[in-house]
Amino acid sequence: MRVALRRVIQLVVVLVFVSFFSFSLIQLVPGDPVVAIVGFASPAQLAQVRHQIGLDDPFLLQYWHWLGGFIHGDLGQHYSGPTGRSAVSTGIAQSLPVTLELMAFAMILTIVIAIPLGILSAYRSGTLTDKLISATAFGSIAMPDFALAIVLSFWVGVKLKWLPTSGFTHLSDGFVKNIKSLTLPAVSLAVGQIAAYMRLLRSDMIATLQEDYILMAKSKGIPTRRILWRHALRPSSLTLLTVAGLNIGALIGGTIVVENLFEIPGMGKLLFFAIFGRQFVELQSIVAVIAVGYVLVNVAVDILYTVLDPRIRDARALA
Amino acid sequence: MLEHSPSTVAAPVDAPPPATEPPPPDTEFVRARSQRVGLGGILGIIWLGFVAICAIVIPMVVKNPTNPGLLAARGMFKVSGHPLGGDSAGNDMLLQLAKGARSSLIVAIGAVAVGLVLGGTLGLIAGYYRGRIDTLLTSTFNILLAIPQFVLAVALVSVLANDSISKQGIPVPVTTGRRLAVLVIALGIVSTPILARITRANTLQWAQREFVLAARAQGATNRRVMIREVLPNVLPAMFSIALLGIAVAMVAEGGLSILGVGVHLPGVSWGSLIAQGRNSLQSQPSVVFEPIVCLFLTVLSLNYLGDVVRARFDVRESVL
Amino acid sequence: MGENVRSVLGSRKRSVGGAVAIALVMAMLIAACGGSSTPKGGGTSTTQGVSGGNPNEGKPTPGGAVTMALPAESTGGWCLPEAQLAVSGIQVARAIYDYLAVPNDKNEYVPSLADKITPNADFTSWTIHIRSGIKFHDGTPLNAAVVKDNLDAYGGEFAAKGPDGQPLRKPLLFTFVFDNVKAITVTDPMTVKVDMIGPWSSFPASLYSYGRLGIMAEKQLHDGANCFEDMIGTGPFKFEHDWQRNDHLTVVKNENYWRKDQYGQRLPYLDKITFKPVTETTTLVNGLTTKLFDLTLSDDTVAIDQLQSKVDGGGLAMLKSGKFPEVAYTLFNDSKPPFDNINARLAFAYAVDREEYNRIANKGLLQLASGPFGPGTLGYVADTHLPTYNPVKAKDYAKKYTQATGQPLSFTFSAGSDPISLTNAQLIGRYAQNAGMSMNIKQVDEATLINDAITGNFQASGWRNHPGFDPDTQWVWWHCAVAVGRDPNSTSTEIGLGDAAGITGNNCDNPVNFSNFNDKVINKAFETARASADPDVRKKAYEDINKEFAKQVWDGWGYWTLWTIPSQTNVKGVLGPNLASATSPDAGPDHDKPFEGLSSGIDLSGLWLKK
Repeated sequence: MRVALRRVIQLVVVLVFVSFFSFSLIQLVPGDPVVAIVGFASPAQLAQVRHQIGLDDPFLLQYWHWLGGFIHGDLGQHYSGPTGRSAVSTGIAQSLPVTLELMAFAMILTIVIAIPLGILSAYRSGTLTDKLISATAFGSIAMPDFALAIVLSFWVGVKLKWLPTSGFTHLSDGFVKNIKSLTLPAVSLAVGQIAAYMRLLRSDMIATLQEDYILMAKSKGIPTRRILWRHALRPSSLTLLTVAGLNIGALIGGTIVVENLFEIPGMGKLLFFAIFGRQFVELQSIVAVIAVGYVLVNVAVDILYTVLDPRIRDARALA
Repeated sequence: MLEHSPSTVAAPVDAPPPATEPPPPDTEFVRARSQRVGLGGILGIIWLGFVAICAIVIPMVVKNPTNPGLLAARGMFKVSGHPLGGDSAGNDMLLQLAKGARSSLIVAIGAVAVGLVLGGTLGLIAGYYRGRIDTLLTSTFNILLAIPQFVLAVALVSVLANDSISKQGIPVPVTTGRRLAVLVIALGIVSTPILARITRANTLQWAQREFVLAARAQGATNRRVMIREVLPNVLPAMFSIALLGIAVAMVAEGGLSILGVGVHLPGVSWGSLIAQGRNSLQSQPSVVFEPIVCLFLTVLSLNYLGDVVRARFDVRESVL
Repeated sequence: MGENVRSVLGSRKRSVGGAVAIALVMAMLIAACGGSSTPKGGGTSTTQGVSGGNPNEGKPTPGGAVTMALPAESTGGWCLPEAQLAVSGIQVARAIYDYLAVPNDKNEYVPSLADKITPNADFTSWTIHIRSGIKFHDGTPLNAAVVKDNLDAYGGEFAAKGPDGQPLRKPLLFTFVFDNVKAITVTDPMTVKVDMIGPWSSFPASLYSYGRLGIMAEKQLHDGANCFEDMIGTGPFKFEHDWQRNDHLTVVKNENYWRKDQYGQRLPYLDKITFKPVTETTTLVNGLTTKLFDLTLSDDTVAIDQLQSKVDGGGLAMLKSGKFPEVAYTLFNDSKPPFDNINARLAFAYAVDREEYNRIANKGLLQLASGPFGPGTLGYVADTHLPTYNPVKAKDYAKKYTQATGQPLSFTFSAGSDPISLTNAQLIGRYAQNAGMSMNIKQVDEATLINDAITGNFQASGWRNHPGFDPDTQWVWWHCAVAVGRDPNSTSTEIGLGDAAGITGNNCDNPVNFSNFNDKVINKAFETARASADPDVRKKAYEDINKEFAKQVWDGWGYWTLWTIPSQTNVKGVLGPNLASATSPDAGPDHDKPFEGLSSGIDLSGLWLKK
């Protein structure tokens, strides 16, 4: 119980600092952020927007108000000129599901491809197959996802015309179209992830395969396939969880860039428009939403560990 | 930041160290071959040297032809004397790539240098002194790492490199030099906590070794012990991560360029060449593929050499 | 109102305060430029007329829905007096709103929501009679009172105040467009009288204002905070609040639209239109080839070039119009070094090889501009003796500049951040360099580009504007009434170069005359044309303006835009139905034909799908 409490306090502290950092971004803008946000406007209009953003208040009070708004879903406004505005929360509500779908797609691809490859590579450790897979993985990690996206959209999209090279079809307009429009971006994101997952899984399984119980299972005459998938893979679930936790940050970064290459209307595109239109309030909110989401995902990974492996729970209790 | 080998990614903030520590995977590929630099390493060094020389020499030697029509949208080996062809504005691609190499290298190496100095110092202090100061510094790193690194970089660059508009409404443009500086600082800040963690973890190990304890017993100042005894032993680990860090920073600059906040004209980087060239992907793909190949080979070389250094000095990333 | 607004805002030109706000509207002028914010030349394969597109066969069949890709999103919405509408925004506005007058195929302005628009003898007063029986989408009737409120709102005289005590509607550019208006009065329930300060023979053209002066319902006009997204008009389509920024906006059929086609069927034919902002060329081309989009509106030469092969293969149709184009050009700041010196402007004009430029940057698709007024527009002159590519002369003038000023000829060129603008800017830089000038590129976002233009904090900039509607609509950009800081008795022919008092710059009181020139010939010609309805007098006046521009090189004219409507082959009726007449609101076969320029989109009420 005390452990749980400590974890919660830690989480709150991290969240407070992360949100504080996001909030502080607008203070770093050189010059007057309001002029940058609204563009040309009368002094009265500028003052009105300044008041609305809350830049009149003392710094910490500003943060307090901003945090209150953030918690209640008021993420500020996107300003278009002195009069046009739209709620940032609406934009995020529309973009976030798209990004999550893309990331989930990439994750699924990663797991579906990385696990068999990792097992194969470990089982055939030292053979030509293993070396080929390892070398490819090493090369894949050196290929930036945006570069891969461009190469893929050229060969698969432009030359072979198999898949759309840009644009997004909403799920409501048909599942197949939706998946097709996300395939190239998801593959671009997945390749580097696959390599990372696969390499970790491989070395993990090489070690597992030396364990006594595997050797015993072998001697009992249990089919290799069953040994690999049932007995050898299970202990690696924690490794997979670790690597998932480690790579989610890279996946988020990659998604932001790749969305812009494929014109996918997700958080990355939203971020792009916010930067392009100097919407620093929107930028604050987008960064805060992504950061909070990232922290929460990591907490979820943490909890999963505890569920999967009682030893950690015990170790923590002692600590 | 973007894709990179998992060992360079800091552990998630709240994730506990896994009970069964996965064996270090990254070095496998390299270690399987050789403890020495090996053929791959030599090729990597040759490529990096080649890039560095080109980045310095070519802009001094090669000039764009006076007539833009000569090279505009011409592919590779179409015009004699200009083997890589020209971009859609008639610039010699060889020259553009060399200029791009300059900016990409400056940004990436500069950023990692900033990270090494800041992160190295802080990590050394945290690992050496332990206790409160360690807790404080480690928490700070954790908070910085709680924001996905690329998002952090985007946020910092787009805020810091914004053309400021004065109260009189007069825009104060950001010069190419200042933009480079902002990129270096932003990516440096992003890489600081990672390098700090590595340094701290290694320092923790070395600071308890007999010779260090002996030096302290002989009355050497903490500063002297840190610099003379601990640092030299921690350097290989820092160096191997730094090599990977340069690759990551270079890729990150590319991502920033795609978002329009990387290097701006009149400067060019490999990333900005890719970003700008992708509009002519259909008509003239070589304009995009040339910088992609450069970036790929460079990242590959840096990753490989980073692994070689790690294998050589037996740097254990599981200490992360 | 006019004078008042002008003096207040005009005198504060450099002080951001209010004046700067006015030209916000410029955002749209370069917003969607993408492919074309820098001069490009042309001449090889010119498209002066209208060509291509689907033949309009037989009786249209109602029903169906289309998706139309547009070059940009209009994030600021459609509170029309305040909105910053580029062509994409205007296209959406044309679905939802109607206009008091619209241009016909001869670029004459024909009453539309009005049935009669008549001037007095000296064009100092205009009477607008509203067509009866027209209702807004919210059911309220169109009458003189709502028209007056609309015109007041555009002119900055709308009486309603917001909760903060400020005027509810804060128009920007339109206060300058209407600065010649003295008073607007309702004379009977269906008649509005507009009194002018000076004569204004071409006033109806400004009632259209490139498709930006739609008539809004009272509810929207009075809607303080949500005016921009609560669009209520009389147009063929209704907005039902389905707008997801940067993704889509839909409009649905207005079942009670006031117009019928020549067969007696009620317009519009389509049930629904989905507008999608598409900024990337590849997305646009792929979307059309994969039938994701039914039609689009594009001046992107890269896209046009790629789509042409599909059109030739019969897979797509493409209506092209080089008529009444806009001009893309290099905007000089004529009030600051180096372009306050005509030698520098001449050196630039002679330096750029527009023919080659057009081949490289525009696939040879565009036509070299001889001046601001394109083919079909009054004032068009085929040969204005514009200085054109001559590297020897370019070097000479650059040397002359150096001799005269003691300074080397160097300048900074501001360009937008999109790949095509940057490529074009680099090309210009190459030509400048070849002529011995040195040019820096300043890569800026759109807001900065406009801000720089307004504040005069630039030397040269990539620009596109001045669509070929009635040339009187350009008054707002180039006319200066008072030469602030200038000696009125000065006889200097180098207008804009300062004067005896040694004042350079700031000598035009018009804050949206971005080039900051104050040219007596141009001022006078605009005034002459406004005072006369005689086509010959007006033609002569605008030709004078055109030639004066060529002589003074106030700006570096590039090329005229080519607008196209690429569409699927089953999309018919793209140019829209015939116009209304004084006696009938319907599209009678003998009525005037619709305008053939595409720089402000198309009338969507005539679109139909062949089954």
